Amino acid sequence: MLFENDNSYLDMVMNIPGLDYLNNSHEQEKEEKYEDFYRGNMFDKEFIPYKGMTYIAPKVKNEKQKDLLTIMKCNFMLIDYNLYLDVHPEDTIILNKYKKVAKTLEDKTKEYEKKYGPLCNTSADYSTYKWIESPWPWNKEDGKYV
Amino acid sequence: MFKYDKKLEFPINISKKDLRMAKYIITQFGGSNGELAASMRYFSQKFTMPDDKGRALLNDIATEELGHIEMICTMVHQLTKDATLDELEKAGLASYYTEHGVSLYPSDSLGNPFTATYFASTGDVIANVSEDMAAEQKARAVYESLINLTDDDDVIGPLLFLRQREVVHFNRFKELYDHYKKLGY
Repeated sequence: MLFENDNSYLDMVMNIPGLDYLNNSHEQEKEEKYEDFYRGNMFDKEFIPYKGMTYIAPKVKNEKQKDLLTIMKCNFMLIDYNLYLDVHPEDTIILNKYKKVAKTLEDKTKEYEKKYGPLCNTSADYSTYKWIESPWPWNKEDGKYV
Repeated sequence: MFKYDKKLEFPINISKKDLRMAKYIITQFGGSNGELAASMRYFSQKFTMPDDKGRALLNDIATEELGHIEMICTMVHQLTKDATLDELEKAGLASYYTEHGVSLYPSDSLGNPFTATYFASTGDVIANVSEDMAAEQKARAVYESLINLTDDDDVIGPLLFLRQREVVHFNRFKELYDHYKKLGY
């Protein structure tokens, strides 16, 4: 069954976006959705589903996980825009989006760290030393991912 | 300098133990097309990139790949957590267990340990960026094989995410390649 009726590889080779980004729609009007994060890229044109599979949304069990997911989403948007801007530093539309998300990430991170403890070992906005506290990101206890 | 964030790039919560999949997925940690090789390849190459675009892109993709190493190791760890000796033996992991227990050791799915030859840094810009483009395609192909081998949504979700990141990285490297070609390299 390997590669049977599966043209996704061909699609990928044909769909290299290249510099046509610069003249084309920047999806300006598109609302940034969690789906873009779940599927793994911000630019619709670059998304290539595998065998019809788009994405599987992570399960969220409590408010802490929901808050962290928002931070992960913002962080991811910055990662994807950052790589794009590395090669297209003159693109002010994406740069402005990047700046907007960066501000949101900063605010959301501050809120999160106040509520639950540090996400970074250089954050210090807490009264007791909470950095060492489990769960760490790779822990699976109780399905938590922080 | 690197800054550690106490979170994964994409959440991983695998509830079902699956030693068979762990044995295959570890190849994206220590295999020739894996994330450790990718990260260190770009990290090594960034020092001799000829302009700011190349230096930035290689540096930033190398950094993201470090996060992917953590995701792959998290998957292997969660898939093997609380495995019994009997289960490890049945999954053909007794020889791995002998050397490494259930800790993370970079090897491919055939058991070959990681080697620095995977870094593939040549000092030639066009050769390096071509290598990087090919590496992303090979990693994408391995992710597709892994997706074909499981029906657990907890595993498929992160694998689909990581596969799409390979597609994006390939596109960025291709743009960089075209940029250098235009400059006459």
